[in-house]
Amino acid sequence: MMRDTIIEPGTLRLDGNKLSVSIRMPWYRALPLSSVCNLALDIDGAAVATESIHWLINGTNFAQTELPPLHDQWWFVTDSAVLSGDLSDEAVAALNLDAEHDVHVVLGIYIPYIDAGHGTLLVTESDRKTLKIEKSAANV
Amino acid sequence: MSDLKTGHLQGTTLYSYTRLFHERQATFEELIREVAKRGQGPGLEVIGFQSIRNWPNPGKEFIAKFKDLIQETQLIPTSMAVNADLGLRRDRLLSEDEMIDYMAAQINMASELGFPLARVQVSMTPDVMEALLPVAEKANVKLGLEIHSHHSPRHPDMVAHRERYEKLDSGYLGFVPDWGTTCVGMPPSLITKYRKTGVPEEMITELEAIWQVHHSEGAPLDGPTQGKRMGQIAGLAGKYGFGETAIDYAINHCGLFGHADPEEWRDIMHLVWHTHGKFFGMHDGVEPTTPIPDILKVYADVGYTGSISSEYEGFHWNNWSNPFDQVDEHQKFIRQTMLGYGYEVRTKA
Repeated sequence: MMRDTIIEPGTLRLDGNKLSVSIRMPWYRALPLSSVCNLALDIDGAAVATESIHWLINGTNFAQTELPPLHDQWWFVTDSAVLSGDLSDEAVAALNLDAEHDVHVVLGIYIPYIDAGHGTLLVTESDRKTLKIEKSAANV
Repeated sequence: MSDLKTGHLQGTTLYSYTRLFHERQATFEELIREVAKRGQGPGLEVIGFQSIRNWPNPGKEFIAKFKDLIQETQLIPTSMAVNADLGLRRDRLLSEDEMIDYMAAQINMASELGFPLARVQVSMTPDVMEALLPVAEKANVKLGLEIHSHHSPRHPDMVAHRERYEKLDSGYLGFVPDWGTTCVGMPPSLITKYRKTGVPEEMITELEAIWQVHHSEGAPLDGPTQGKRMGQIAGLAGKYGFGETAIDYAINHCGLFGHADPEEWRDIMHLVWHTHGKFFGMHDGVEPTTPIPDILKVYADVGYTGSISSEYEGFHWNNWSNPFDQVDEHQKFIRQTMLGYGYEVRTKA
Protein backbone atom coordinates (compact mmCIF):
# COMPACT_ATOMS: atom_id res chain seq x y z
CA MET A 1 0.00 0.00 0.00
CA MET A 2 1.35 3.45 -0.94
CA ARG A 3 4.73 1.86 -1.59
CA ASP A 4 5.67 4.87 -3.73
CA THR A 5 6.07 6.84 -0.49
CA ILE A 6 8.51 4.52 1.33
CA ILE A 7 11.82 6.24 0.47
CA GLU A 8 11.68 9.89 1.51
CA PRO A 9 13.36 12.08 -1.15
CA GLY A 10 16.24 14.28 -0.03
CA THR A 11 17.23 12.09 2.94
CA LEU A 12 20.01 9.86 1.61
CA ARG A 13 23.13 10.31 3.71
CA LEU A 14 26.57 8.75 3.98
CA ASP A 15 28.63 9.09 7.15
CA GLY A 16 31.82 7.08 6.88
CA ASN A 17 30.55 3.69 5.81
CA LYS A 18 27.08 4.22 7.27
CA LEU A 19 24.39 4.74 4.64
CA SER A 20 20.98 6.01 5.82
CA VAL A 21 17.66 7.08 4.37
CA SER A 22 14.32 8.17 5.83
CA ILE A 23 11.41 5.77 5.51
CA ARG A 24 7.65 6.35 5.44
CA MET A 25 5.21 3.67 6.42
CA PRO A 26 3.49 1.81 3.55
CA TRP A 27 0.35 1.39 5.65
CA TYR A 28 -2.44 3.62 6.94
CA ARG A 29 -2.34 3.16 10.72
CA ALA A 30 0.21 3.13 13.53
CA LEU A 31 2.05 -0.16 13.82
CA PRO A 32 3.89 -1.62 16.80
CA LEU A 33 7.66 -1.74 16.37
CA SER A 34 7.31 -5.52 16.66
CA SER A 35 5.71 -5.38 13.20
CA VAL A 36 8.85 -4.14 11.46
CA CYS A 37 11.15 -6.78 9.95
CA ASN A 38 13.17 -8.01 6.98
CA LEU A 39 14.82 -4.65 6.36
CA ALA A 40 17.20 -4.24 3.44
CA LEU A 41 18.92 -1.24 1.87
CA ASP A 42 21.14 -1.10 -1.16
CA ILE A 43 22.69 1.60 -3.32
CA ASP A 44 23.64 0.93 -6.93
CA GLY A 45 23.24 -2.75 -6.12
CA ALA A 46 25.60 -2.74 -3.11
CA ALA A 47 23.71 -3.84 0.01
CA VAL A 48 24.43 -2.73 3.57
CA ALA A 49 25.46 -5.58 5.89
CA THR A 50 22.33 -7.19 7.37
CA GLU A 51 23.82 -7.38 10.88
CA SER A 52 24.55 -3.63 10.82
CA ILE A 53 20.97 -2.58 10.02
CA HIS A 54 19.41 -0.12 12.44
CA TRP A 55 15.97 1.52 12.67
CA LEU A 56 15.79 4.97 14.27
CA ILE A 57 12.31 5.76 15.57
CA ASN A 58 10.94 7.84 18.46
CA GLY A 59 14.49 9.00 19.27
CA THR A 60 16.03 5.54 19.68
CA ASN A 61 18.27 3.81 17.14
CA PHE A 62 17.35 0.12 17.41
CA ALA A 63 19.28 -2.75 15.91
CA GLN A 64 16.92 -4.73 13.70
CA THR A 65 17.22 -7.66 16.10
CA GLU A 66 15.89 -5.52 18.96
CA LEU A 67 12.55 -4.82 17.26
CA PRO A 68 10.53 -8.08 17.62
CA PRO A 69 9.76 -7.74 21.37
CA LEU A 70 8.71 -4.08 21.10
CA HIS A 71 4.95 -4.62 20.81
CA ASP A 72 4.21 -1.72 23.19
CA GLN A 73 6.08 0.95 21.22
CA TRP A 74 4.56 2.47 18.12
CA TRP A 75 5.50 3.81 14.70
CA PHE A 76 2.95 6.57 14.09
CA VAL A 77 1.61 7.12 10.58
CA THR A 78 3.11 10.56 9.98
CA ASP A 79 6.52 9.84 11.51
CA SER A 80 9.61 9.01 9.49
CA ALA A 81 11.94 6.25 10.59
CA VAL A 82 15.60 6.22 9.54
CA LEU A 83 16.96 3.01 8.08
CA SER A 84 20.74 2.69 8.20
CA GLY A 85 23.48 0.15 7.70
CA ASP A 86 27.15 -0.21 6.85
CA LEU A 87 28.52 -0.48 3.34
CA SER A 88 31.78 -2.25 2.60
CA ASP A 89 34.90 -0.12 2.04
CA GLU A 90 34.81 -1.15 -1.62
CA ALA A 91 31.20 -0.05 -2.04
CA VAL A 92 31.90 3.33 -0.42
CA ALA A 93 34.99 3.84 -2.60
CA ALA A 94 32.89 3.14 -5.70
CA LEU A 95 30.29 5.84 -4.86
CA ASN A 96 30.51 9.08 -6.80
CA LEU A 97 29.28 11.60 -4.25
CA ASP A 98 28.15 14.03 -6.95
CA ALA A 99 26.17 11.52 -8.98
CA GLU A 100 22.64 10.22 -8.65
CA HIS A 101 22.23 6.74 -7.23
CA ASP A 102 19.77 3.92 -7.48
CA VAL A 103 18.48 3.36 -3.93
CA HIS A 104 16.40 0.33 -3.06
CA VAL A 105 14.64 -0.43 0.21
CA VAL A 106 12.77 -3.55 1.29
CA LEU A 107 10.58 -3.47 4.36
CA GLY A 108 8.43 -6.15 5.96
CA ILE A 109 5.48 -5.22 8.17
CA TYR A 110 3.31 -7.63 10.08
CA ILE A 111 -0.32 -6.45 10.01
CA PRO A 112 -1.43 -7.26 13.56
CA TYR A 113 -5.18 -7.56 12.89
CA ILE A 114 -5.02 -9.76 9.80
CA ASP A 115 -4.67 -13.52 10.09
CA ALA A 116 -3.19 -14.92 6.89
CA GLY A 117 -4.33 -18.44 7.77
CA HIS A 118 -0.81 -19.54 8.74
CA GLY A 119 -0.08 -16.69 11.15
CA THR A 120 -0.24 -12.91 11.16
CA LEU A 121 -0.10 -11.40 7.68
CA LEU A 122 3.38 -10.27 6.66
CA VAL A 123 3.40 -7.65 3.93
CA THR A 124 6.68 -7.09 2.15
CA GLU A 125 6.96 -3.80 0.31
CA SER A 126 9.80 -2.20 -1.59
CA ASP A 127 10.63 1.12 -3.14
CA ARG A 128 13.32 2.22 -5.56
CA LYS A 129 14.22 5.83 -6.14
CA THR A 130 17.05 7.77 -7.76
CA LEU A 131 18.67 10.03 -5.17
CA LYS A 132 21.76 12.12 -4.60
CA ILE A 133 23.68 11.84 -1.36
CA GLU A 134 22.87 14.89 0.74
CA LYS A 135 25.76 17.23 1.50
CA SER A 136 24.58 18.96 4.63
CA ALA A 137 26.16 19.49 8.01
CA ALA A 138 23.45 17.19 9.29
CA ASN A 139 25.17 14.33 7.48
CA VAL A 140 25.13 12.09 10.52
CA MET B 1 -45.05 18.27 0.60
CA SER B 2 -42.37 15.71 -0.12
CA ASP B 3 -43.34 12.07 -0.45
CA LEU B 4 -39.76 11.07 0.14
CA LYS B 5 -38.94 8.84 3.07
CA THR B 6 -36.14 9.69 5.49
CA GLY B 7 -32.98 7.92 4.44
CA HIS B 8 -29.62 7.19 5.96
CA LEU B 9 -27.19 9.72 7.45
CA GLN B 10 -24.53 10.77 4.94
CA GLY B 11 -20.96 10.72 6.17
CA THR B 12 -17.35 10.01 5.48
CA THR B 13 -14.33 8.43 7.11
CA LEU B 14 -10.97 10.13 7.42
CA TYR B 15 -9.56 6.92 5.93
CA SER B 16 -10.69 8.29 2.56
CA TYR B 17 -8.09 11.05 2.86
CA THR B 18 -5.26 8.82 4.07
CA ARG B 19 -2.77 10.09 1.47
CA LEU B 20 -3.28 13.73 2.43
CA PHE B 21 -2.65 12.89 6.08
CA HIS B 22 0.17 10.46 5.38
CA GLU B 23 1.93 12.93 3.07
CA ARG B 24 1.54 15.61 5.76
CA GLN B 25 -0.51 17.81 3.45
CA ALA B 26 -3.29 18.05 6.04
CA THR B 27 -3.49 17.52 9.79
CA PHE B 28 -6.27 15.65 11.57
CA GLU B 29 -7.96 18.95 12.45
CA GLU B 30 -7.60 20.29 8.90
CA LEU B 31 -9.16 17.16 7.42
CA ILE B 32 -12.15 17.41 9.77
CA ARG B 33 -12.68 21.10 8.97
CA GLU B 34 -12.47 20.34 5.23
CA VAL B 35 -15.04 17.53 5.60
CA ALA B 36 -17.40 20.03 7.23
CA LYS B 37 -16.64 22.80 4.73
CA ARG B 38 -17.32 20.56 1.74
CA GLY B 39 -20.50 19.14 3.26
CA GLN B 40 -19.21 15.57 3.24
CA GLY B 41 -20.70 14.91 6.66
CA PRO B 42 -22.43 15.26 8.90
CA GLY B 43 -21.37 11.70 9.78
CA LEU B 44 -17.71 11.45 10.76
CA GLU B 45 -15.75 8.24 11.17
CA VAL B 46 -12.20 8.08 12.50
CA ILE B 47 -9.68 5.25 12.82
CA GLY B 48 -8.11 5.55 16.26
CA PHE B 49 -4.78 4.04 15.33
CA GLN B 50 -4.57 6.15 12.18
CA SER B 51 -5.48 9.63 13.31
CA ILE B 52 -4.73 9.77 17.02
CA ARG B 53 -1.25 9.59 18.47
CA ASN B 54 -0.95 7.34 21.54
CA TRP B 55 -4.34 5.76 20.81
CA PRO B 56 -6.24 4.69 22.91
CA ASN B 57 -4.65 6.98 25.51
CA PRO B 58 -4.48 10.32 23.69
CA GLY B 59 -4.61 12.47 26.83
CA LYS B 60 -7.00 15.05 28.23
CA GLU B 61 -5.84 17.87 25.97
CA PHE B 62 -6.61 15.89 22.81
CA ILE B 63 -10.02 14.84 24.12
CA ALA B 64 -10.99 18.42 24.91
CA LYS B 65 -9.75 19.72 21.56
CA PHE B 66 -11.62 17.01 19.66
CA LYS B 67 -14.87 17.81 21.44
CA ASP B 68 -14.39 21.52 20.66
CA LEU B 69 -13.79 20.67 17.00
CA ILE B 70 -16.97 18.60 16.81
CA GLN B 71 -18.87 21.48 18.40
CA GLU B 72 -17.34 23.94 15.94
CA THR B 73 -17.97 21.85 12.81
CA GLN B 74 -21.34 20.44 13.87
CA LEU B 75 -20.26 17.05 12.56
CA ILE B 76 -21.76 13.91 14.10
CA PRO B 77 -19.33 11.20 15.27
CA THR B 78 -20.69 7.96 13.81
CA SER B 79 -18.03 5.31 14.17
CA MET B 80 -14.66 4.95 15.82
CA ALA B 81 -12.82 2.27 13.90
CA VAL B 82 -10.86 0.26 16.44
CA ASN B 83 -8.36 -2.48 15.71
CA ALA B 84 -8.35 -6.03 17.00
CA ASP B 85 -4.59 -6.59 17.01
CA LEU B 86 -4.51 -10.28 17.80
CA GLY B 87 -1.05 -10.53 16.19
CA LEU B 88 0.51 -7.66 18.14
CA ARG B 89 3.33 -9.83 19.46
CA ARG B 90 5.84 -11.86 17.47
CA ASP B 91 6.11 -14.69 20.00
CA ARG B 92 2.40 -15.56 20.29
CA LEU B 93 -1.13 -14.36 19.65
CA LEU B 94 -2.86 -12.32 22.35
CA SER B 95 -4.89 -14.43 24.75
CA GLU B 96 -8.66 -13.98 24.96
CA ASP B 97 -8.30 -11.98 28.20
CA GLU B 98 -5.63 -9.76 26.64
CA MET B 99 -7.85 -9.14 23.62
CA ILE B 100 -10.76 -8.17 25.84
CA ASP B 101 -8.60 -5.64 27.71
CA TYR B 102 -7.09 -4.36 24.44
CA MET B 103 -10.54 -3.79 22.92
CA ALA B 104 -12.16 -2.44 26.09
CA ALA B 105 -9.61 0.40 26.28
CA GLN B 106 -10.48 1.43 22.72
CA ILE B 107 -14.24 1.10 23.22
CA ASN B 108 -14.08 3.25 26.35
CA MET B 109 -12.08 5.95 24.57
CA ALA B 110 -14.55 5.85 21.64
CA SER B 111 -17.26 6.55 24.20
CA GLU B 112 -15.33 9.37 25.81
CA LEU B 113 -14.88 11.02 22.41
CA GLY B 114 -18.60 10.80 21.72
CA PHE B 115 -18.79 7.93 19.23
CA PRO B 116 -21.94 5.79 19.46
CA LEU B 117 -20.37 2.81 17.69
CA ALA B 118 -17.00 1.10 17.45
CA ARG B 119 -16.12 -0.74 14.27
CA VAL B 120 -14.37 -3.97 15.25
CA GLN B 121 -12.65 -6.55 13.10
CA VAL B 122 -12.88 -10.15 12.10
CA SER B 123 -10.08 -11.31 14.38
CA MET B 124 -12.73 -11.15 17.13
CA THR B 125 -14.47 -14.42 17.93
CA PRO B 126 -18.16 -14.59 18.95
CA ASP B 127 -16.93 -15.44 22.48
CA VAL B 128 -14.79 -12.29 22.69
CA MET B 129 -17.66 -10.23 21.33
CA GLU B 130 -19.99 -11.64 23.95
CA ALA B 131 -17.40 -11.00 26.66
CA LEU B 132 -17.20 -7.37 25.51
CA LEU B 133 -20.96 -6.87 25.68
CA PRO B 134 -20.93 -5.54 29.28
CA VAL B 135 -18.16 -3.11 28.30
CA ALA B 136 -20.19 -1.93 25.30
CA GLU B 137 -23.36 -1.56 27.36
CA LYS B 138 -21.59 0.38 30.11
CA ALA B 139 -19.89 2.66 27.58
CA ASN B 140 -23.10 2.89 25.54
CA VAL B 141 -21.13 2.08 22.40
CA LYS B 142 -22.51 -0.41 19.88
CA LEU B 143 -19.98 -2.84 18.40
CA GLY B 144 -20.11 -3.37 14.65
CA LEU B 145 -18.05 -6.26 13.32
CA GLU B 146 -16.86 -5.23 9.88
CA ILE B 147 -17.69 -7.66 7.10
CA HIS B 148 -14.87 -6.98 4.68
CA SER B 149 -13.69 -8.95 1.68
CA HIS B 150 -12.67 -11.79 1.57
CA HIS B 151 -15.40 -12.51 4.12
CA SER B 152 -19.06 -12.13 3.26
CA PRO B 153 -22.37 -12.33 5.15
CA ARG B 154 -22.69 -16.05 4.38
CA HIS B 155 -19.12 -16.98 5.31
CA PRO B 156 -19.41 -19.50 8.17
CA ASP B 157 -17.43 -17.21 10.52
CA MET B 158 -19.93 -14.39 9.94
CA VAL B 159 -22.91 -16.72 10.25
CA ALA B 160 -21.56 -17.79 13.65
CA HIS B 161 -21.34 -14.14 14.71
CA ARG B 162 -24.86 -13.42 13.43
CA GLU B 163 -26.34 -16.39 15.26
CA ARG B 164 -24.65 -15.30 18.50
CA TYR B 165 -25.81 -11.69 18.13
CA GLU B 166 -29.36 -12.79 17.37
CA LYS B 167 -29.36 -15.08 20.39
CA LEU B 168 -28.06 -12.33 22.69
CA ASP B 169 -30.46 -9.79 21.15
CA SER B 170 -28.65 -7.00 23.01
CA GLY B 171 -28.96 -4.11 20.59
CA TYR B 172 -25.21 -3.63 21.04
CA LEU B 173 -23.67 -6.33 18.84
CA GLY B 174 -23.99 -6.07 15.08
CA PHE B 175 -22.16 -5.62 11.81
CA VAL B 176 -20.57 -2.93 9.65
CA PRO B 177 -20.97 -3.97 6.00
CA ASP B 178 -18.05 -2.98 3.79
CA TRP B 179 -19.19 -2.69 0.19
CA GLY B 180 -15.84 -3.96 -1.11
CA THR B 181 -17.26 -7.37 -0.17
CA THR B 182 -19.65 -7.20 -3.12
CA CYS B 183 -17.66 -6.07 -6.18
CA VAL B 184 -18.27 -6.67 -9.86
CA GLY B 185 -14.76 -6.16 -11.22
CA MET B 186 -11.30 -4.75 -10.67
CA PRO B 187 -11.04 -0.95 -10.44
CA PRO B 188 -10.04 0.80 -13.69
CA SER B 189 -7.69 3.10 -11.73
CA LEU B 190 -5.73 0.07 -10.51
CA ILE B 191 -5.31 -1.16 -14.08
CA THR B 192 -4.17 2.36 -15.01
CA LYS B 193 -1.61 2.26 -12.19
CA TYR B 194 -0.37 -1.15 -13.30
CA ARG B 195 0.21 0.25 -16.79
CA LYS B 196 1.93 3.36 -15.41
CA THR B 197 4.33 1.22 -13.42
CA GLY B 198 5.30 -1.14 -16.21
CA VAL B 199 3.16 -4.17 -15.46
CA PRO B 200 3.03 -6.08 -18.77
CA GLU B 201 -0.30 -6.26 -20.64
CA GLU B 202 -0.15 -10.06 -20.54
CA MET B 203 -0.02 -10.00 -16.75
CA ILE B 204 -2.90 -7.52 -16.53
CA THR B 205 -4.96 -9.72 -18.86
CA GLU B 206 -4.19 -12.76 -16.69
CA LEU B 207 -5.02 -10.89 -13.47
CA GLU B 208 -8.38 -9.78 -14.82
CA ALA B 209 -9.15 -13.26 -16.14
CA ILE B 210 -8.35 -14.90 -12.78
CA TRP B 211 -10.51 -12.31 -10.98
CA GLN B 212 -13.41 -13.32 -13.22
CA VAL B 213 -12.79 -17.01 -12.54
CA HIS B 214 -12.83 -16.33 -8.78
CA HIS B 215 -15.96 -14.24 -9.25
CA SER B 216 -17.77 -17.04 -11.04
CA GLU B 217 -16.82 -19.35 -8.15
CA GLY B 218 -18.09 -16.79 -5.61
CA ALA B 219 -16.78 -15.47 -2.30
CA PRO B 220 -14.52 -17.98 -0.51
CA LEU B 221 -16.19 -19.73 2.39
CA ASP B 222 -13.06 -21.15 4.00
CA GLY B 223 -9.43 -20.26 4.63
CA PRO B 224 -7.85 -22.80 2.27
CA THR B 225 -9.83 -21.45 -0.71
CA GLN B 226 -8.72 -17.92 0.09
CA GLY B 227 -5.13 -19.10 0.62
CA LYS B 228 -5.17 -20.94 -2.70
CA ARG B 229 -6.43 -17.86 -4.52
CA MET B 230 -3.82 -15.61 -2.93
CA GLY B 231 -1.14 -18.14 -3.86
CA GLN B 232 -2.37 -18.09 -7.46
CA ILE B 233 -1.98 -14.31 -7.68
CA ALA B 234 1.36 -14.24 -5.87
CA GLY B 235 2.58 -16.95 -8.25
CA LEU B 236 1.45 -14.94 -11.24
CA ALA B 237 3.25 -11.83 -9.95
CA GLY B 238 6.37 -13.92 -9.42
CA LYS B 239 6.15 -15.31 -12.95
CA TYR B 240 6.34 -11.80 -14.36
CA GLY B 241 9.22 -10.74 -12.11
CA PHE B 242 7.26 -9.04 -9.33
CA GLY B 243 8.03 -11.65 -6.68
CA GLU B 244 9.34 -9.10 -4.17
CA THR B 245 5.92 -7.45 -3.86
CA ALA B 246 3.79 -10.44 -4.83
CA ILE B 247 1.82 -10.27 -1.57
CA ASP B 248 0.72 -6.75 -2.46
CA TYR B 249 -0.85 -8.03 -5.68
CA ALA B 250 -2.47 -10.88 -3.78
CA ILE B 251 -3.91 -8.56 -1.12
CA ASN B 252 -5.33 -6.21 -3.74
CA HIS B 253 -6.76 -8.96 -5.83
CA CYS B 254 -8.11 -11.30 -3.15
CA GLY B 255 -8.49 -9.00 -0.16
CA LEU B 256 -10.10 -5.87 -1.55
CA PHE B 257 -12.43 -6.77 -4.42
CA GLY B 258 -14.81 -9.31 -2.94
CA HIS B 259 -17.08 -11.67 -4.85
CA ALA B 260 -20.28 -11.87 -2.79
CA ASP B 261 -23.73 -11.07 -4.18
CA PRO B 262 -25.12 -7.75 -2.84
CA GLU B 263 -28.31 -9.62 -1.95
CA GLU B 264 -26.36 -11.29 0.88
CA TRP B 265 -26.43 -7.99 2.80
CA ARG B 266 -30.13 -8.62 3.32
CA ASP B 267 -29.27 -11.40 5.83
CA ILE B 268 -27.73 -8.99 8.33
CA MET B 269 -29.43 -5.62 7.87
CA HIS B 270 -31.42 -6.03 11.09
CA LEU B 271 -28.04 -5.86 12.88
CA VAL B 272 -26.56 -2.91 10.98
CA TRP B 273 -26.34 0.65 12.30
CA HIS B 274 -23.32 1.86 10.35
CA THR B 275 -21.85 1.07 6.94
CA HIS B 276 -18.57 1.44 5.08
CA GLY B 277 -19.60 2.70 1.66
CA LYS B 278 -16.33 1.42 0.24
CA PHE B 279 -15.44 2.57 -3.27
CA PHE B 280 -12.30 2.55 -5.35
CA GLY B 281 -12.83 5.47 -7.70
CA MET B 282 -15.61 7.35 -9.46
CA HIS B 283 -15.51 7.41 -13.26
CA ASP B 284 -17.86 9.70 -15.17
CA GLY B 285 -20.18 9.92 -12.18
CA VAL B 286 -20.45 6.20 -11.46
CA GLU B 287 -18.46 3.65 -9.47
CA PRO B 288 -17.64 0.74 -11.77
CA THR B 289 -16.37 -1.66 -9.09
CA THR B 290 -18.96 -1.59 -6.30
CA PRO B 291 -22.51 -1.92 -7.72
CA ILE B 292 -24.05 0.89 -5.69
CA PRO B 293 -27.60 0.70 -7.12
CA ASP B 294 -27.81 -3.04 -6.37
CA ILE B 295 -26.40 -2.59 -2.86
CA LEU B 296 -28.60 0.39 -2.03
CA LYS B 297 -31.68 -1.47 -3.27
CA VAL B 298 -31.23 -3.72 -0.23
CA TYR B 299 -30.82 -0.68 2.04
CA ALA B 300 -33.94 0.93 0.55
CA ASP B 301 -36.00 -2.23 0.87
CA VAL B 302 -35.26 -2.52 4.59
CA GLY B 303 -35.70 1.21 5.24
CA TYR B 304 -32.16 1.67 6.57
CA THR B 305 -31.76 4.87 8.61
CA GLY B 306 -28.27 4.32 10.04
CA SER B 307 -25.13 6.04 8.83
CA ILE B 308 -23.00 5.40 5.74
CA SER B 309 -19.38 6.53 5.53
CA SER B 310 -18.13 7.06 2.01
CA GLU B 311 -14.86 5.16 2.18
CA TYR B 312 -12.52 5.88 -0.72
CA GLU B 313 -9.83 3.23 -0.99
CA GLY B 314 -8.38 3.92 -4.42
CA PHE B 315 -5.63 5.86 -2.64
CA HIS B 316 -3.73 2.59 -2.15
CA TRP B 317 -2.46 2.97 -5.70
CA ASN B 318 -3.99 6.20 -6.99
CA ASN B 319 -1.68 9.12 -6.25
CA TRP B 320 -3.25 11.44 -8.83
CA SER B 321 -6.91 11.88 -7.76
CA ASN B 322 -8.11 14.26 -5.07
CA PRO B 323 -9.90 12.16 -2.42
CA PHE B 324 -12.27 15.00 -1.46
CA ASP B 325 -13.42 15.22 -5.09
CA GLN B 326 -13.85 11.45 -5.12
CA VAL B 327 -16.03 11.53 -1.99
CA ASP B 328 -18.09 14.39 -3.44
CA GLU B 329 -18.91 12.34 -6.52
CA HIS B 330 -19.62 9.20 -4.51
CA GLN B 331 -22.04 10.94 -2.17
CA LYS B 332 -23.78 12.67 -5.07
CA PHE B 333 -24.31 9.32 -6.78
CA ILE B 334 -25.62 7.76 -3.57
CA ARG B 335 -28.07 10.63 -3.00
CA GLN B 336 -29.35 10.32 -6.58
CA THR B 337 -29.69 6.57 -6.28
CA MET B 338 -31.61 6.81 -3.01
CA LEU B 339 -33.82 9.50 -4.49
CA GLY B 340 -34.72 7.00 -7.19
CA TYR B 341 -35.75 4.58 -4.45
CA GLY B 342 -37.87 7.24 -2.74
CA TYR B 343 -35.50 8.25 0.02
CA GLU B 344 -33.94 11.57 0.95
CA VAL B 345 -30.45 11.09 2.36
CA ARG B 346 -29.89 13.11 5.54
CA THR B 347 -27.14 15.62 4.92
CA LYS B 348 -27.69 17.99 7.84
CA ALA B 349 -27.06 17.55 11.55
